[in-house]
Amino acid sequence: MKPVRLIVWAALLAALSWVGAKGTGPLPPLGALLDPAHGVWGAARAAELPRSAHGAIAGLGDDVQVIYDDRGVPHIFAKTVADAYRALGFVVARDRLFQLELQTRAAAGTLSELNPAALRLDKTARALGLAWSAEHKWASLDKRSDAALSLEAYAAGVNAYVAQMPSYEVPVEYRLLGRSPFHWEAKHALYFLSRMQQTLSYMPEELQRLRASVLVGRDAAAALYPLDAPMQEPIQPNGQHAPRFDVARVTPPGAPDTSSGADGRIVAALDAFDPDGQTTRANEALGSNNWAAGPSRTKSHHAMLAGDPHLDLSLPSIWYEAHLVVPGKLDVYGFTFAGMPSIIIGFNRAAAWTYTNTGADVVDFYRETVDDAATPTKYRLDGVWKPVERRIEEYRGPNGQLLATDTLYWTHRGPMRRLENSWLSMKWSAHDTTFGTANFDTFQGSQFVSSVAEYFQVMAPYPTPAQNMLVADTGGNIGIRSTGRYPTRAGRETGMDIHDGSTSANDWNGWWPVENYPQAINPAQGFLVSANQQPVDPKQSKGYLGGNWFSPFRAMQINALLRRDSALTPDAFQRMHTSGASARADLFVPEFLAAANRLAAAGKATGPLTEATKRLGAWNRIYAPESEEAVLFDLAMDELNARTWDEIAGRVEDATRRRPSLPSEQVLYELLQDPTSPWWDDKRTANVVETRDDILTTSLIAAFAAARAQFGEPAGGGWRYSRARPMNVYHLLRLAPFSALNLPTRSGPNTIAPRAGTDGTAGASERLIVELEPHHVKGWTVMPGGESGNPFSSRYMNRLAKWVAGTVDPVPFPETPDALPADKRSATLTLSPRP
Amino acid sequence: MRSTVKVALLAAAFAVATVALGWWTVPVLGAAWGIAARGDDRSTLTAGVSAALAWGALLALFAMGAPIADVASKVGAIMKVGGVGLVALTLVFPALLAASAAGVTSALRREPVVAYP
Repeated sequence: MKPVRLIVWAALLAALSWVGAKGTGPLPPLGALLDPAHGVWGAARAAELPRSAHGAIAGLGDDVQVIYDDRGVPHIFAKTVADAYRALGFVVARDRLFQLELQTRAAAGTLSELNPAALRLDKTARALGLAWSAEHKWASLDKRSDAALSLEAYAAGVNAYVAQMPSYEVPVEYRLLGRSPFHWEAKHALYFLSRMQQTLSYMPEELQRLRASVLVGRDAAAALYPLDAPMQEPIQPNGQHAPRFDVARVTPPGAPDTSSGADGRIVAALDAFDPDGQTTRANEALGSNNWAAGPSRTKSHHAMLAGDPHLDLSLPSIWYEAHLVVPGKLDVYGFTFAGMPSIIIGFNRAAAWTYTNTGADVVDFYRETVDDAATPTKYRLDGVWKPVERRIEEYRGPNGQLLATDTLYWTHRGPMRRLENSWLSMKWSAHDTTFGTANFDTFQGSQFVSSVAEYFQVMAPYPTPAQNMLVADTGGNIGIRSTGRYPTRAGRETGMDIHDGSTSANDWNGWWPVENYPQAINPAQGFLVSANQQPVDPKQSKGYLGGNWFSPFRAMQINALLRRDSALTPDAFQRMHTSGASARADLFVPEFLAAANRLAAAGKATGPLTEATKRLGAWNRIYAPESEEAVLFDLAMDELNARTWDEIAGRVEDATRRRPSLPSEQVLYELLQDPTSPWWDDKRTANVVETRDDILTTSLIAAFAAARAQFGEPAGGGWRYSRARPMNVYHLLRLAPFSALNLPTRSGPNTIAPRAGTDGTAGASERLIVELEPHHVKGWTVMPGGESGNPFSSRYMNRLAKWVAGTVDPVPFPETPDALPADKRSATLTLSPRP
Repeated sequence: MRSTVKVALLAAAFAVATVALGWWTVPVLGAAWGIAARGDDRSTLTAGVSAALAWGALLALFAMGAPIADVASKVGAIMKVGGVGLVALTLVFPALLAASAAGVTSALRREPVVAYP
């Protein structure tokens, strides 16, 4: 009996010890997880900042005082700028340690070490050379430069926190994954920048055109993804007082292009650069807004600025709000990214600035000649064989097991992928190591500027990703410039084709001069707006900047609101942020109604069409949580897009080939002006040739049926937009209990506050309003979350309700620690030099 | 009475060791208890109850002013055991670990010594 008992106890002990130390199946190691002193329960102890705390950082020149205000935003008071960056690293790590690691892994292509399901993301990151680029840039960086020293200072702050972090402050995600925090290195900031390059500048529009060419021919593809937007409401004001519609006939679908430059094999090879399919996501999924008004348009007669960058939403937010003060040198408030030693978007005592993405074409592809089609070691350039750089990429799982390997090849242009017996290389400005420290120098330099002119001067060398940089100052000036390195292409007008790589004559041969960038200072109209639309009117253009621009619906809406109000206030800016009005609906709803009326006039209207028309006609075209007709309109637009573009949006027959993303809706609107275009014929219906009105009305009827099927009868309440199409802010690991789901916002597709991304997961990532009164700059901010990354902290999503409601918080902007009132303080942290 | 004192002292030892060194001290202390309490038929039970009490007390201590219920419900949901399940797991895990460790050493200790002529 005793041996049996011994065996039973021993087996139980062994099993529990194993599960405790190693975990089992999806379970992390249970011992470290359940430990009430150090495990997951510790997240509760670490939820709130202690009223007073101390820390130490090696290299700190003097004590730094950090005061958290009542929203949990740190105000950092340091004696030197380097100390301010050290402290920023410390406080960001204190709040966002897991985020720092996760975003670095996303760029490094090592997410599968946390979860093997991320392998495809990792393959994309490595195929695009994100880590390769970051490593090369770090290697080429002068380590004594201000940028490198600031990165090192920031890293010292991050690692000082990690070294002093009590075990119960280890973020809960590490406990759930059974891992420990990694060591932050200065170069990881470059990894993050690489990741942002992927998000903001990897937009190879030639891919859309090529994918469409192999389906409907080259000319039709060029019409679907045009170089110039058919709706002109440019960033650089063109002297007009309303949008201009440059409507042309959309070239009908033709025979598939089987020429050597556009066959399915090339498309497949190009797709190999993007295993995760980033380039096939819905067009216009991400965008941003900014606008500014000069003294002639504001009630206070001071310049005002609004920032509204749209990104994938997450908890914690991608942004971290902070205030850095170094007396006599630096006094800047705003938003930084976790991992970046500077305020990126914000304001100081004299100026405010914010960005939207430009979306310029900074990606080209080249057909290379190689020595060995299977495993190339050399490629031919100008008659000379050049060595191919080869890199074996290994992907490992959580336990270090090998999941996959890739061999990546590089030419002087960039990564090279195989196309059966030939090879394609990619040139992307994000890989350019000659930009040196320009990204950091410009971001950091912007924090010190005192005027629009100075800002333009400081930001002139900014390389990439190109941004529409909006700035305003206390002198009453406003300015905008689409800033970034735009390549010049010798002998070629655009970057839309696959180029011969055997000659360097086809390489980029320089960059646009800054004076040619789209830009404006103090325009006669008194305000400036950007929302990812084509930056400059083609009639005023100074060269090829890109193509397939976002529809300017958001810009149209913002411009309309600014044009009608010549006494703008911060409150007005706040209301604009979430106005819910839709220029898109203003254009398309009348088209649906007109088509239905024409059918009715012909005596062909059916009951469902009549009812759907009545409901759609009753809509005020404002997206609000209680809107019901907005649901019908969204579904009708989905149907209209699918039925119109059936030639390119149908089922994928060839598994190696991806379909192009749908053309922008400004092209769809352009097509609506041609009622009998062959595009209207739905190829899925046999023996019928549809017209525009057929497609519009059948789309509306189908949408009405779909709405009833999905959401019940209209009177049942299921059509409420907030119920049918809510916004969702997921935790970084998409853990639902840590997420904020089903949020009722005033957001719809392409409204100023857009509902974008799959399942409403992208939108306004922060909002900023600044009024630039001399000697009294005032700011207001909000973000969809909070400062803390701890899901149990009151600071995790303490700003979310205001973000949903469309309101903003006034920003405390103290010049000294004592200037922040006691009732506005929630905690303090004193950082001292480590002996 | 003596049993209660034993449990209390052992629980205190488990608590201090967990805070000071970590969860792995639970089986170590449990094993040590199995040796120390030789001849005590209830050594495994004592070890298990003490460990559970220790972790329960720590949980209660750290719960003061902290959102423990929030942790339980959210992490419990992620682990698909529910909030109550997570708390139960936090008590049962050390109990079984300590009891099994005590059981092993206790059983080894009580094996008769065979003397050969």
